[in-house]
Amino acid sequence: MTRFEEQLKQALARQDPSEDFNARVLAAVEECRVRRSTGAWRWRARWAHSWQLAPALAALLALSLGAIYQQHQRIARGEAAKEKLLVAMRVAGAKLHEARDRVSKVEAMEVQ
Amino acid sequence: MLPTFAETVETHKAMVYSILWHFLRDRSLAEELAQEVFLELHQSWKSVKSSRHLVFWLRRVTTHRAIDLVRKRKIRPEMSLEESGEPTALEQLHDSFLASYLGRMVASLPEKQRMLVVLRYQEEMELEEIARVLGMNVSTVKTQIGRALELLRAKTTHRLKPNEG
Repeated sequence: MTRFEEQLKQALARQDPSEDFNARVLAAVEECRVRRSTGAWRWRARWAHSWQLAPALAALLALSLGAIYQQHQRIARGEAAKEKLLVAMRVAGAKLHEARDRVSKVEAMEVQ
Repeated sequence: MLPTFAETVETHKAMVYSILWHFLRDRSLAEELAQEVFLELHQSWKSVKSSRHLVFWLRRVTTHRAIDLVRKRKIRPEMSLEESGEPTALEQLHDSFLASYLGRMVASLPEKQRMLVVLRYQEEMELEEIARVLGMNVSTVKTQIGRALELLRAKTTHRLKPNEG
């Protein structure tokens, strides 16, 4: 190592930070730890609180499912009624057609 | 066996603080950043495998944090090499004044060269170690340190001559 490098080494010798450095670092670590644990506690508390809402949420879900089922049944009943009505109309139409044919035949015989 | 965190702070605070002080040339900023480095160490404490790994970790995080800070805040050296001038008459009187002058000269180097010089002459690290810490090639480290020394020597050599021999 040259004399210049020796001088450089002396110029860049290690120095200590201020006396309260250790205390400040440890205080910052502690503060950070407390903040993290408080944060975790709040997170747990929020979850615990939300679990209290579980029965109400379950009831709401059951009511919603019931309403959806009833709506579905109503639609099914309506579809069935519509189908029956269509069948009845088709039968009535066929009978009317038959009656008209008979009337036509009778009228034709009277004309002859 | 790893030391406790408090023991680690006590043992390595001078290393971390001095790297930052010689690099940033701002005592309060150096202390603030040194504190952040130790906080980060506390958070990564479980990943520290050995005392050697601990020193490597501290040097790596400290140097990268310092370079990041300078780049982010666009901190420039207080003066350029040209502006740093000659040592005053008072500075020529004593080695400690010369050391102060050299410290200011180092602080005026470009950031990579500055960090290389700090690690080489403050920490007395081998070129391979420096390369590992900074993620550089050994040959680049060698070249850059050589250039930094040339720059520093050019400015100070005639002032040191009377003391030589």
